[in-house]
Amino acid sequence: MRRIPRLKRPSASGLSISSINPFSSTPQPRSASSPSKPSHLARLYSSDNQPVPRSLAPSPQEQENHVAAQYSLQDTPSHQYHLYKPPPPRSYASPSDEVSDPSYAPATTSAGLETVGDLAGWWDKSEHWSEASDFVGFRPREKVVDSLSIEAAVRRAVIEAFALQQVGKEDILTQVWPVGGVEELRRVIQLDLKSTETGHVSLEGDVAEVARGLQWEASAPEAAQTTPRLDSTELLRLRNAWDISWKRVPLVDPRIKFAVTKRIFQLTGQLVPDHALSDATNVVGLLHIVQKPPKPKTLTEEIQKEGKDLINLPNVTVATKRVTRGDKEQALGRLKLMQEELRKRDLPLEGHGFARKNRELAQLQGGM
Amino acid sequence: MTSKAVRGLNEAMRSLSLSSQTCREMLSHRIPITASSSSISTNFTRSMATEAPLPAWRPATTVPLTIFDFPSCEPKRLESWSVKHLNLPLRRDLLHLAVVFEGDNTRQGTASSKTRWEVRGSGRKIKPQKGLGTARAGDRNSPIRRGGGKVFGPKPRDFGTKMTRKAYDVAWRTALSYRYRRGQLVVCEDGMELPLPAEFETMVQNGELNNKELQDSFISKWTRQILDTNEWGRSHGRSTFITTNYREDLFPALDLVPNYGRAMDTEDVDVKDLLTTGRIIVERSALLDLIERHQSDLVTNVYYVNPALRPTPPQSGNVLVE
Repeated sequence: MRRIPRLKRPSASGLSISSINPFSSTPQPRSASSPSKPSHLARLYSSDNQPVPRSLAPSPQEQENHVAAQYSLQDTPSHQYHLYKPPPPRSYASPSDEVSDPSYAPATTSAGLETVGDLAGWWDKSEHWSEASDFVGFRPREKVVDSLSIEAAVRRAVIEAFALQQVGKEDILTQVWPVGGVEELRRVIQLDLKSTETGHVSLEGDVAEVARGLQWEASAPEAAQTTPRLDSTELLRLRNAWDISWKRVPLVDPRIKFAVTKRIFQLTGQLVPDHALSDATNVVGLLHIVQKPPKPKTLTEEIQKEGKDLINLPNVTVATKRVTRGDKEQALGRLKLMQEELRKRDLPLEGHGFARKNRELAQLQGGM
Repeated sequence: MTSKAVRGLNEAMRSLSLSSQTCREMLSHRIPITASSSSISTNFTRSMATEAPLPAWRPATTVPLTIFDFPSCEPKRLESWSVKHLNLPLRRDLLHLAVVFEGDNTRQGTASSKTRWEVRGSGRKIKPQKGLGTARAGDRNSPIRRGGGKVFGPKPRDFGTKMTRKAYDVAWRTALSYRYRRGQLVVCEDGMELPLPAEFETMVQNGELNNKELQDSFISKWTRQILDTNEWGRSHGRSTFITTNYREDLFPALDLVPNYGRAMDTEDVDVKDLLTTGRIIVERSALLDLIERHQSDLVTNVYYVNPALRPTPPQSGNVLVE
């Protein structure tokens, strides 16, 4: 238990009556340009004893800034934060018998007094916890499910991996690569990738430039966190220009396969499960795994998506949830009458499902 | 006549020698050991008359396993683990036996009621045997009287059942294998701990977040964000975190969001825990520890005079790609 230091009561002069509230209603202004960790570094978190990827680790200069910021924080608290905003320090009003204003009379009712609320939901407000300070992991914020975009991401990953191998920079094959922008995506997937029947892969174009784009440069501007997207018409046009043999590119080298699946996970959020890795011997096998549409979560979703003929049957109705007694009465137009009668007799109006389900089951599943 | 009998005996002996081949010998017939013959995919095992080519069957002895960073979920390296550890066939019967066995042994078995001899009260006859015109009665502790003892009530006892150790260990690894095949086994690097933002730590150090509820609400929102980002949270069926020992930040944080997941160390894990939530997120060393403790069917405890002859247990955790 942390000991809370006892606060000194401030002097009565200069305090208005309205500041009786525990937290002063006007928060102190904060400096907007406070030095801290850059957002793109602060957001990819890792356990303490595991180093943050070198590419994502703060540079020594930034670390110094951060340390300096921490020291300065101790002198002037609550001024240096820009990711999260703590509540202002507690302020106290003077006791009623020490107020110097002769016209002051303590209130006898709460009417007209200022309300300040409490700390519940403090962090849910955007001004205290902005979207920029949210946690960011390795995968993109939004999973890519469109099969065309996934195919483009797979092509990009395969080209990048083979480009690194061709240039001879195999040491960064398994590391984190920058995501880059739209023009980089366009440039990479337009490279000419071919494979022969014997499994030989040929990559033509500006391979060195692609390999250079996969290295982190210290002087480069802050990388955009959003993954680049191309619209479907452009993707379709690009795809038609690709040589068909690129789908036969073999993925037998485990380092290449690891690099490709890691890159696909970074770009699309589609993870190739470990047990399916052996099926991905070439690009076709890989596409088959990552382009698999997600399984519908409910039966209703599945019927709406795939069972069109079932819905169109004249003697079948499909409901999205269970049809209860209340629903039947409502369809007949009898429910309101029943509710009125129940209200007249002061009887409970809870309807279907008011009884709680098995409490132990809820506890097992993490409920309180 | 004698020669006929001898011929018959010879035939019988021949057939016996054929059928007495063990499975292992059959396997050696099918799978050529030499490297030169491994390129030939067919072998001939039967007599020339019914000769037919058989494809060589080579089951994989290892499966790949990705090791992730926690909590960024970045794939760090690829390792090879033995199929006998992580790819056993599903045996529902064994899983059921193991879960029931654990449940039986978890029962407290302390329910207790008092018999007529334990209920407080005297053994004096409550009314005369004869002369009152009512039914005869003994003492007031009799089971047929209100406040009397219970005849066949519960008494403290052990509900524990037994299960063969080797079968239980197979069930353990079957549960892990089931999770692996469904893609629900996430293995993270050692030292799995919840990293809190540096700014938050500074605020707490500076005493600007003295309110315990404020700290807790921050940590729970942060934990929920991490789990949701990685698709491990409530909308994806909760997660069980397994570490080698208690973690100062991770365990209390997950206690704050019980709908999102739970954490336990390797001592607490049972087969049932491996089968309950949406996925298992386990430290690499914790997984190795769990497997080592549950492979009694794979390692021998027979003493070998020549240690070179001692069969080696299956090896797991060799790095493929790093």
